[in-house]
Amino acid sequence: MSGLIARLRELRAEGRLESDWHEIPALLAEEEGLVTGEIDPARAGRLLAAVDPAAVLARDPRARAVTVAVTGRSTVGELIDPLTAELARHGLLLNPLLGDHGAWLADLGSPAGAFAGTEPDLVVCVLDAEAAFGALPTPWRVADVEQAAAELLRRIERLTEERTTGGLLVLNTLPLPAWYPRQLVDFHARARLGAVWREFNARLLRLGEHRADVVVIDLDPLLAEGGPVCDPRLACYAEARLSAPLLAAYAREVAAVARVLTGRLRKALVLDLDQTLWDGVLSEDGPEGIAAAGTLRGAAFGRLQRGVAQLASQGVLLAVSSKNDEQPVLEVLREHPDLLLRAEDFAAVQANWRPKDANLREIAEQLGLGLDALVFLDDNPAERAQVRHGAPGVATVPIDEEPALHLDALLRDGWFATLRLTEEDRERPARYRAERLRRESAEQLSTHREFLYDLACWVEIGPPRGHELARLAQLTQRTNQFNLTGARLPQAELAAHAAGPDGDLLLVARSGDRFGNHGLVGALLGRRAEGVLHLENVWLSCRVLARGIEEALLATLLGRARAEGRSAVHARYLPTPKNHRAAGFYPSLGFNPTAQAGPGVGYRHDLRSVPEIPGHLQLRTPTPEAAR
Amino acid sequence: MTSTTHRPVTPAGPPGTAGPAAFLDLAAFLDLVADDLGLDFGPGAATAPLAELPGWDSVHLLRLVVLMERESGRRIPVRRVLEAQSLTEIHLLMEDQA
Repeated sequence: MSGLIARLRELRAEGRLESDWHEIPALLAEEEGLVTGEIDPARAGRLLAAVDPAAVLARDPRARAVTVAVTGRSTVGELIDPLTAELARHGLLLNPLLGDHGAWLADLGSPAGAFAGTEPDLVVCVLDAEAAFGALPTPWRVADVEQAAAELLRRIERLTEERTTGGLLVLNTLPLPAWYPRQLVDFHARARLGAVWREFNARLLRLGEHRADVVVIDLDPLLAEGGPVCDPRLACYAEARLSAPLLAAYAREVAAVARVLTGRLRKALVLDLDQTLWDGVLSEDGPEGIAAAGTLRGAAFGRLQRGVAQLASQGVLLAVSSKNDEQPVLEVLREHPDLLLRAEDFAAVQANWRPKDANLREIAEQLGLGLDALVFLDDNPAERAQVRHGAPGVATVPIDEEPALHLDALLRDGWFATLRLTEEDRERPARYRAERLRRESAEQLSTHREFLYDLACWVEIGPPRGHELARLAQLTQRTNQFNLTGARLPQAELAAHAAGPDGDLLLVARSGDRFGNHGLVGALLGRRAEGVLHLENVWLSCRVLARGIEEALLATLLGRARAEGRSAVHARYLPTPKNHRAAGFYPSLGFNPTAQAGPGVGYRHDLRSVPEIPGHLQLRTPTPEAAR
Repeated sequence: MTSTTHRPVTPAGPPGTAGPAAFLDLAAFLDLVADDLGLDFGPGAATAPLAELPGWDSVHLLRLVVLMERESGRRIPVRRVLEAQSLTEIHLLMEDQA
């Protein structure tokens, strides 16, 4: 006997099913066989059927019951046990109302029907092909089926308009048992019957399209996973026209609808990486050793990734919880050629060696969601158990070492089901991604600032010394990224500017930090003319980018221009193939674009407010060259 | 289907004495049914009318058909199981199929 079944029997025998109800969902979640099909949920449901919802509600105000009215054309009682279990998995008590046998029209349409005076949350009307075929003459023709199906559809349509019961109406498509087409000996007639029947089911499926109070569930995909439609003996002797396995699969779908109705929505999927999202173990096999394409096994992981991308496109947030070092994970997410899902697809990435329940809690916090909004996919049963224990409420999806089954396992429970998708849903991942980028840049900013202070950076700004002109020429030759016009100046020309005969202003920056001296790392060239100063160019070595040296250079220049009583500083940015990084440099320091003619973008600084030298930089006064 | 000869109920006994072939003896059968249906059978459950068993539901018979077929690995007389009045009767039907 399974541990779960034994435990439920024990609780029942001790009369504790009701008092311990709040522990039942976790107990059911612990038994993964309930989801994988090793244990028939109906068995758990039969035991849980002993629970009196009213008694639980009286004890526990947080408990939630759903009233489900079940009716149909034939025997539908077999839906109750699996439905009880499926709802209990989500913490929902089933308050079942059973209609009169075969009396679905009266149950739903008559003021004196079985559900009169009740207020069901859900009304499940289980129909089967007999609802149409039962009205046929013997012998029948395809045209008779067409007529009977049309009549049945009219009745159902009328019922959706005029039913006397409230609640969300759940209908199903009607599977066609093999014995009907096989009674037709010619293939054309069989094909016609198939077409007629599918047209009927298609129109039935469309019934829910424009109605908020009707959901139609397609049984075909459920049958494709495992039939049969029914056992002809049980159909014949007991009017059981839909098989127990089919009704069990249907119960899971109905439970998903109930989950949506009661606001039990899952919003984020947290993925393990090694052996879940890709084949291999990153920390052991390295980026070259993992695969999600190109090999048979790798392609199976690719299939999962495509399915996950499909979910994400409909508003499901994605996150990573992986036992790995963070940097290699980020690199793989950014660069690995096999991956369909990329770093920017994830709203949160937790790659570390902490227990995964801590990761899941952190992710929930980052996304502003409860643990009960998360679904966790991991191939390691121990990790799943650890998360169930330490992060209660998270739904764990059992998968194993067969990656070709990962996607089916993920989708089996319809975790992310919703009644109707909105634009807001579709846009959700993008909004969360933007939030993550903001958060990260803020984090990076603060850690970067700390880093700079810790570095004890200094800068010395002044005219070049004679022996520095060769190095300065080399700097202008080699600087590509932070070269505002792309200009490169030979040593002789630099020497001429340094002499400053035409009011030229050539400044260089030397810098160092607690690790050593960088030497000459930056320069700017200005030209004084008619009360203003023209900034010809700025160069900065890549080695010291983002240390504030460029700001210090400009702050010095602007301060000096103001001290000289100049009215403005003019500058120009000329885009080159490599200097796009510097495009925002002048505006970031208070320069405004001007309409002045010429190539590139002209800027003007009015000197009213001059930027300060960044606080983390220690400004040193250059020793005069003569004193050297 | 061959007709059933109504023999007396064979209680659980030493191996080899239970029935003509491999189907479970009555005690094991009752255990199996109780386990699968989640019922707790008291004394007298074997011969009590099914409807009087605590927790019994007509849907349980459908479940029993599937269960018996799976356990015996044979086709079982569905109609007669559905018409059976007690668990003993169902057990007899199963033994006759074995």
